[in-house]
Amino acid sequence: MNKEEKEILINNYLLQACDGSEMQMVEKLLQEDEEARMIFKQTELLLKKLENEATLQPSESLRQTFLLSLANELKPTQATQSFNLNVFYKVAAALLVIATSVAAGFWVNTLVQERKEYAALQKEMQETKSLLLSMMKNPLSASQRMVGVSQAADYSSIDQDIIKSMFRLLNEDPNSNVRLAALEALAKYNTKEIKEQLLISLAKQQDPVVQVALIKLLTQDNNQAIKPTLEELIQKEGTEKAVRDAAHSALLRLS
Amino acid sequence: MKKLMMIALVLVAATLQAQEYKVAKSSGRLELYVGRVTVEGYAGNEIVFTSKSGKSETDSRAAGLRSVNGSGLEDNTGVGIHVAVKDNIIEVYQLKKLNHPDLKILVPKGIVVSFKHDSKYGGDAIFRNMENEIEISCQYNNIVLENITGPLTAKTLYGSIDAVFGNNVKGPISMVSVYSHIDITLPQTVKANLKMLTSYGELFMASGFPWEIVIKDGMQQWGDKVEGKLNGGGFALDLRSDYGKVYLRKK
Repeated sequence: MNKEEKEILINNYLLQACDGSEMQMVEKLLQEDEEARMIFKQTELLLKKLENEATLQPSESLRQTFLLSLANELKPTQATQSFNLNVFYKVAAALLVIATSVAAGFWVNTLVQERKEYAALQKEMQETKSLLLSMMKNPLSASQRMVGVSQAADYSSIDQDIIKSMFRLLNEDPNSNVRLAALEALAKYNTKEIKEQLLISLAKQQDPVVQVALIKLLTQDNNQAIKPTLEELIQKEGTEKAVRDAAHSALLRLS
Repeated sequence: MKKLMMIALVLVAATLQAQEYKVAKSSGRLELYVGRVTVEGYAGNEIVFTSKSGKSETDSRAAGLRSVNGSGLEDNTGVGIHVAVKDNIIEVYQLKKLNHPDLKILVPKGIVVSFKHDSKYGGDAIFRNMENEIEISCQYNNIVLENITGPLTAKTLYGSIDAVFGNNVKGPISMVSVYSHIDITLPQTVKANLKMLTSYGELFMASGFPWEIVIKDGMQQWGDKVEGKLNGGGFALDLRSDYGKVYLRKK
């Protein structure tokens, strides 16, 4: 048994923490081993000194400080949190970049989609226009030409090709009903240029039914510019009675 | 003996009215430049021309001679008309300005029929039982339409237009008479955008037609022009008589 083992065993013996066999072993060591007896005396002396040492008491101020600190530690944690501003700005910047990227992507995508839709719409309008012009040129069916005129009249904006086709129908179509449909469609535009062309059309119009309709239309807004054409129609040999009657009636209204 | 005589007379009459001329066409366009005519639709593949006038108008003095006129046309059909076939267009001309054959024509369904006559020497233009597209342009003829479907464009300057439509009406329909009436009968269920117009006449419409007046710029139009939708609207239905009356009836 080395010295350290002897010290532990003797310390336990003096503190009365040994069982029976350990106590016999210590007593035997104390009888036979000089080193053990020395360790026994030193340990016994140390323990006696420790028992005699007065208990140290903290000062009152130290005690108060300790209790205050303890009370602070026992307080519940408050809701306020401290932030690390650098991390906050980094996260915000990252979110901003992501949001900007998403928005830019969405905008570009929308723009591309809108351009596609616009191109498709333009193509569709062009096809519709071609179809209408084709219908208005159908030489075998007056009803097809009428449908073409009727649908072209609903066309969203003034289109010069369609206007031109309508005037061609008004002045040249062999069918009076088609001419009347073209006249009605043109009357909807109500622009100065179209009114001037309608006046020219009256001067060269050969269809009496259309002449009557033109006279009625062009005198609705007290248009004095039509008077010479009306007088010419009245005096012209071969003018139908219906047209002459309408011209006379219009002149009376205008005077 | 009397019975035998009667049978013989009937046979002779039938023979006289049996003058026919046929053109094998079931599509295309038939253009009639004659003063009066009766056109009927039928389920065949030929255009059949029949003259009711028969041989009673034949001149024994003209035997061996050929009828000629200023237009250079001749009777190439045996029924008193000239027929010219140009691709899909069949043109029919009368030979005399003042005297018109009493012509009846049967047409297949797929043929567009056009009637055009500007002279005041003419009679009624009658069209019945037709599903064909019809185009009529004349100045003095009265127009009679019975059991037709349309599409139809009809104009007469001094004549009238009387029309009774079948159940399956197809548009557009446009009728114009400057001086006389337009009298049209339609099925109550027809869907159309209706315009009725007159300057010095009147407009009449059967009660009970399900229609709504079109409001433009917040203003309802009254007087000599009426615009409305029949049964919610549909094809264009234009009726115009400047000096006459317009009657719209329901079947």
